[in-house]
Amino acid sequence: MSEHTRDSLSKSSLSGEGSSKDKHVTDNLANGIQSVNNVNHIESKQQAQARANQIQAFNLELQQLHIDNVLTLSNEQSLQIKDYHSTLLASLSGAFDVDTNNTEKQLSHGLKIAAFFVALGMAASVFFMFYQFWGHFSPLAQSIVLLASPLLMLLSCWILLKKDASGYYAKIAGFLSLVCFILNLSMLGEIYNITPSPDAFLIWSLMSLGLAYLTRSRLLLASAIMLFAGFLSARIGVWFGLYWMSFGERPETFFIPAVIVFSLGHLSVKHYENFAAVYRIFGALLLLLPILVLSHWARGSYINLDREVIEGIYQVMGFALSAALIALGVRRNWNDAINTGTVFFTLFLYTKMFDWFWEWFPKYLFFLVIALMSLLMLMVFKRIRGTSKLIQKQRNKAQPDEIQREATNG
Amino acid sequence: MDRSKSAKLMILLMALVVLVNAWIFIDIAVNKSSVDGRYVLSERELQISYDYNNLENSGVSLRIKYRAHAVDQDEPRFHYGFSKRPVWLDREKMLALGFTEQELIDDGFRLADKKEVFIALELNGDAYQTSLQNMRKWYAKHLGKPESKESELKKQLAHEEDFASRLFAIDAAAELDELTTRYQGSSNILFVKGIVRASRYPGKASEDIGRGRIESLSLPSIHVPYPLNETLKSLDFRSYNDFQPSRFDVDVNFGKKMIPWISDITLTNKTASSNTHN
Repeated sequence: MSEHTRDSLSKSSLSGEGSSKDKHVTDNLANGIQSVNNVNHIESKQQAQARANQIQAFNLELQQLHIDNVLTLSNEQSLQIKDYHSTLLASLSGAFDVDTNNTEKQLSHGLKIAAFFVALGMAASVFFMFYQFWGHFSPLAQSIVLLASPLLMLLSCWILLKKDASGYYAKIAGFLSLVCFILNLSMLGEIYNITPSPDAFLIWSLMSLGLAYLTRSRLLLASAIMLFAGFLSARIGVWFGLYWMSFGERPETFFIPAVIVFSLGHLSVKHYENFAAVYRIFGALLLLLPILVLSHWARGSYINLDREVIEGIYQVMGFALSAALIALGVRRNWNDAINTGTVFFTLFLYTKMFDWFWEWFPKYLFFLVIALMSLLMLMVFKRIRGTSKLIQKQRNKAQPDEIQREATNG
Repeated sequence: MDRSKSAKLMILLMALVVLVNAWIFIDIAVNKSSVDGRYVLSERELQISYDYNNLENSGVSLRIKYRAHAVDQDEPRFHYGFSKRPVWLDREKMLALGFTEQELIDDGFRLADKKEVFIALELNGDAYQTSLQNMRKWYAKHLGKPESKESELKKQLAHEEDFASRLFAIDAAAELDELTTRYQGSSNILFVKGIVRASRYPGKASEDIGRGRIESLSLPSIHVPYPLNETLKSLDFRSYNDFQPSRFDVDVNFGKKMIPWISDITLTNKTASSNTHN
């Protein structure tokens, strides 16, 4: 159905044209109800949840319009809409386990937190259980257990993915598959005395990435990104002639992975819309965290300049890049980029102020300066918010013209 | 993701697990296909790992104890300890290992870079004999001096003669071939990977500038497989510089890919049983 139905419904209902449009609305609703069971065009949980949220918002607004005497639907229309939404929500809930009201949404947050702790707890348990008993088995038995465990967990993940529409259990199984695979390679290395290599990070990253897309888990995606960043950073270190495990001592080796990861945040893959934000946040973290470290610890830099100059360069870069991230977030409507940029801008500002004033100023003056700087930031953000609203208004203004144009063309 | 796509992805992930494991097992098989070096090390060279004392880890590994003729101290009893600033790891050697002049300069704040190189460890060879002679000379020099305690001198000498590691880091190279060519025909040289970094300690003499230090071996300990680990479980943990005789001998093999493995452990106590495993 149902983009057309929804558009027609919202346009005609909200226009408040009343009974002249009633027949049109009723026809559309009838068409919609006929196809309400068909939710095939909704292909992901995110889309289904967005639709459920939209219905909830629509009902609230309709209620408000009724209270304000702007629009009152006839009993028949109200009933038809209610029936239509109930059936649609039941279908969405059945197919995608979406939250259809606020209570369910709050419980879902609780479920996510619980699932996260289940995954962490079980991962730690698997790890320590192996350590507890591995010394009592021959290398062959150890190898079989280590190979079988990720395969069995992958199989469990696959079964749970099919059985459980909510996906929580599949995500937990996916995370455990990754942990078992990490244990698999690292323990084989230990058992057979193989020298550690950064390539293991790439292999784990691929596994984590595959599982992330399979189970739609952002935790696994974040793990994949961190593992990939670890691999590439270590490899870059090796290209510069360093021992690979020293990559943590050279924060600049994270810049290239950061750029790659952040670029992926520009791609909006169908059904994985919420993954883009994860790429952007971790891309920004991988860039701004090393800059924050280098802005106070030039020892880890490759740049062959004086300590003060290096730290100064990174301080300026930190401010500029966090501000640029905020600006990009405002332009692209990326809340994640705005929030990350704001956190880092504040961090750069406060650490710099601590450097300058903590020893020099009495405490009351130091905190007053902090408060004044925060006030300044508040004013700046208020201004940015105003600009953002203006852009949104212009967009909204342009939208009806586009719809009109599309209607004429179509 | 639809069912067929997710099925394909799942198969790919399973294939990844199987292929990577297969790769590792092939590597291990290739390594064990020929024994390039076989050495008998004792507890003097291999210390039971600290983890073994941990009740939540049933695995056992043996930490490789190695020494080097170092530049730091004057007294021989401290020459061969933990410092790992070998005399031979001078500026020229560091440059040959791939360090640049820039990396060797101590500018006061920059972090020293580490590199992974190949290290030659000599077992009970000239380096150990030199160490033993130095200790005996030191003992003779100090014996009878009013400030020296005879019992302490004897203890130090006994440590060098009977308890200290006979494994000495004697050389390093950026490529393995350099070392194998240099020590061709020597049956008491182990080739291992190790981490070297510019030491950057303010040297007492100008020749100290640009020296390096061995941070650690890339593989600091060797895993003891079951059932050989059972042999060691009756033994107490000992500290690194222990003044007690060795309790076991270990057969360590190095294969085609320089990966070591333990093939036998023998308790040196006559009443202890022996255990063999391949």
